[in-house]
Amino acid sequence: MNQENLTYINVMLGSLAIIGLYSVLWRENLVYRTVEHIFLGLAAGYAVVGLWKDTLYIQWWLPMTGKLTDDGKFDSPGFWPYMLLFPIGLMAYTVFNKEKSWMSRIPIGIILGLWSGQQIQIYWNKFGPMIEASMVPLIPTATDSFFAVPTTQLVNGRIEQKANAVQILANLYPTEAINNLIFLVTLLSALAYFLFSVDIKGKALMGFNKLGRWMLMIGFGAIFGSTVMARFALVIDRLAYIWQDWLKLGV
Amino acid sequence: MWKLLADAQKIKREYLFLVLVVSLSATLIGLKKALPQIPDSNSMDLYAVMMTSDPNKPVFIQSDWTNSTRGESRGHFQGLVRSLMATNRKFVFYSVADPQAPQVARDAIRTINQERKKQGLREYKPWDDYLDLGLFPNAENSLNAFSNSIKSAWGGRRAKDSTGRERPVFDSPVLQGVTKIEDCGAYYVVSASNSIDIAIERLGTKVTMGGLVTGVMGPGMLPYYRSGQLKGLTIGLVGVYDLEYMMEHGINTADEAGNIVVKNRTKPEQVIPPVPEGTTFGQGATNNLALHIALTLMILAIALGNVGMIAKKKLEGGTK
Amino acid sequence: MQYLDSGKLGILVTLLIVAFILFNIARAKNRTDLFIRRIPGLNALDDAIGRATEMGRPVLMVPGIGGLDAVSVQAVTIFSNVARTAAQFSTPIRLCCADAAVYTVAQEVIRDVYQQEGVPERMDAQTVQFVSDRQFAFAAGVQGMILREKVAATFLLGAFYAESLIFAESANSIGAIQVAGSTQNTQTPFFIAACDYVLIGDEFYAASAYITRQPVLVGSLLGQDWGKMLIIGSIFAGMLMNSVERNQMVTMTRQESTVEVRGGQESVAEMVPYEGEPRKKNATETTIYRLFHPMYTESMYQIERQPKPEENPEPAPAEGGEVTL
Repeated sequence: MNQENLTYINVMLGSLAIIGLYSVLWRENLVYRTVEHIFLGLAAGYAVVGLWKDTLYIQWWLPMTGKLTDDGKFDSPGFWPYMLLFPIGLMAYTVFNKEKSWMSRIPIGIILGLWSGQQIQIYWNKFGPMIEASMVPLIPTATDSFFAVPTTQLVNGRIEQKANAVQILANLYPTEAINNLIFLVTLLSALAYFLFSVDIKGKALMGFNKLGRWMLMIGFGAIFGSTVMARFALVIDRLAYIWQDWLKLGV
Repeated sequence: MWKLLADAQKIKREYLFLVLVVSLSATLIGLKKALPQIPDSNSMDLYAVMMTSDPNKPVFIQSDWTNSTRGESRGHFQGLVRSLMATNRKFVFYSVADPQAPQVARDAIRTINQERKKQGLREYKPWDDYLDLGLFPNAENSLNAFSNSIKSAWGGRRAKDSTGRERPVFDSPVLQGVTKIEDCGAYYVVSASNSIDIAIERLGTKVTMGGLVTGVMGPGMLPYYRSGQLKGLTIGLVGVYDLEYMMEHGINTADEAGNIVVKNRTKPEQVIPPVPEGTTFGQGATNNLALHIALTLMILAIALGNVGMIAKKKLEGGTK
Repeated sequence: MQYLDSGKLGILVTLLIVAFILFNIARAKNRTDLFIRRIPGLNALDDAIGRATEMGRPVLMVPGIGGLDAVSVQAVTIFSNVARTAAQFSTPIRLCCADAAVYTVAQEVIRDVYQQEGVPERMDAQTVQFVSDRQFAFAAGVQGMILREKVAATFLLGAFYAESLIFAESANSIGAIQVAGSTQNTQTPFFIAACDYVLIGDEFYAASAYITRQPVLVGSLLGQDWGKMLIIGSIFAGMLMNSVERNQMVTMTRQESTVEVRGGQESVAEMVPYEGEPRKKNATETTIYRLFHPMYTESMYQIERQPKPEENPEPAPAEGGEVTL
């Protein structure tokens, strides 16, 4: 069978699976269930192969056993201490034995410990720049214009830098300051909403807390919209796969 | 009248799905119209990074998307790869997220190579022009290792050279002069998951990083863009079209008729040309109109549902 | 001003936050009355189990699809509490996992719960199950289970991604009562739309601390609170400083350059007198900027020893000039 026919069968099976899975929108049915189980089985099989091929073999087996070049010459030395990882990993399987199941906590402990350590290490890389970007000035430094002034101008159809571009860039215009104010109030109220050791009493605190909740809800609305757009993009792609890739309509 | 509107709430969801599928299918099959676009400033910044990164340094692509988000991420990845190929930049790609990811990236590159062959352009060759490093399992530890030393993290990886012999990847022309992660021209993450957060946390301070993320991830990534941890960012299918539109028209660049199609108002001094060769419009342009129709239908459905609810309340209020 | 350039700000803040957490854990061990604000609607947990018991249908719990980390462990901690109530009322539970390590932990924890309640025989192979570690295969599997078994209540707590709405919608369509919470902000809106009660962001951690009152959880929560207050305070202070400084006229400006340090390029900066037209300070000339972007890199502080110069082959002239006989 040539490559073209193989691709066609591939795309056709894919399309039928798409239709099968989408049939759940009508109601739960035998076709959906069949495709669901095929999907689960395929995924499990793929995961096993991937685990050996992409993880254990490359990351563990090869470095442990070392490597010879294609013509049989010495390439990289084996690092035998990696063997010690094997029994530690195997301990996870003691979970099936009631008496020995405590041993399964050892590899999990190691994983959690490594993870926690890394979190401390990366904390500042992640939040430092954001904290800095949040320290925004609120007092405008220029009042000659309400809106930010462009640093370039059109001269004879060409874009040219203004002579006082450096001054303009250093200025903070009132609209920018208002922007910063909105940002700061949103940030602080949302952050304060997540303080759990403070009892929210009194009008001011409750108001600020409520404002935080409102801001979060507005944010969630934006996320909702963006996500719906993403979901539509996925549906459109699936339909394009059926109509264009398989049936070659509208190509 | 109120009764009719109140009944709108009773429309079965199966019918809504049917309307959606029929109108989207009709658009995909029959309606071809390129819509004008005003790219987001974050997309413009990403395109600027893509076109201005040092052409002599390889670009690293952390490609963490799979078929699950093919509708958005494939468009991002293809746009990125097309512009790298058009500007003769070498690149390395790998995934730290999913065993499927390297395979879908390979397929996408193969499609672009076939397309270039048809157009009579130079095909990109593995080993000489780009490197496929496969999967690095466990994003946290892998990216930590990259940050410490890519010499040791990638040292064990091998790829077939042009004669078909397996050799260590650092012998490849792509990685010449690269000893640490900072030596890349730019670092792009095409992602549908938090693997991009992990990359920012571990490599963000060391490389010029751009993000190409799905619509779901988008709002969560904007703070990183705002704080400069991401130098550019495209979001979702709209971002794909943004990218393709700028690949076609450039930024602040006049076309033959003397019109500037894409204007960057916040950075008027920035002039970025369109890509010099190859395809520009792809998945973004094909699916953009369908997306607009879907969103219009959605807005109509929400409006109808809400009017229905008000009508129902009015009717119930009347009977009391 | 040299402290500004030490580049140790990040380490200092991180250590402070770690210290806050450790201190509060110690405090929580000695005191059980530390205040945590009650999150409205935690009662929903008990209500949901009650309803499942009345209907005689199972309760479904999903700890998200993330790997074994703080999020999934806390989810399992909350679930152990739910499972305890369920075991007392003989309500069947289904805990579906997408990660082998999480599955192992969940199985351990739930088995412990059933044993402590004296009903180990009620835990069967279906109680805690591993469905798939592929995202959408997992989603398809759990969705199938929701529809087939007509679960009465669902608890979706943990790291959820695109599959969140598949679960929430399916369970909503069969009228299950749902309590959800995701640490992924991107998924919270969908839970808000489709579930009866939602824990937003950090409320998820607060819930587990509130329910279990474990010193480690309570202490971590309070420590994080202190950390948040520190950040709120410093953002406020930074805002004030920037507001004042940006209004000052510039006298010194920052000049960036790259230097060669031990064979690599490193960027450094120095403050040089400003000689252009008068203007206000820009964003890179403030103290806050310098605090976050030190002018010198750490390796530049280390003294690089020059290789010892070779011994001068010519003997140095003896003091006192030529010796004459």
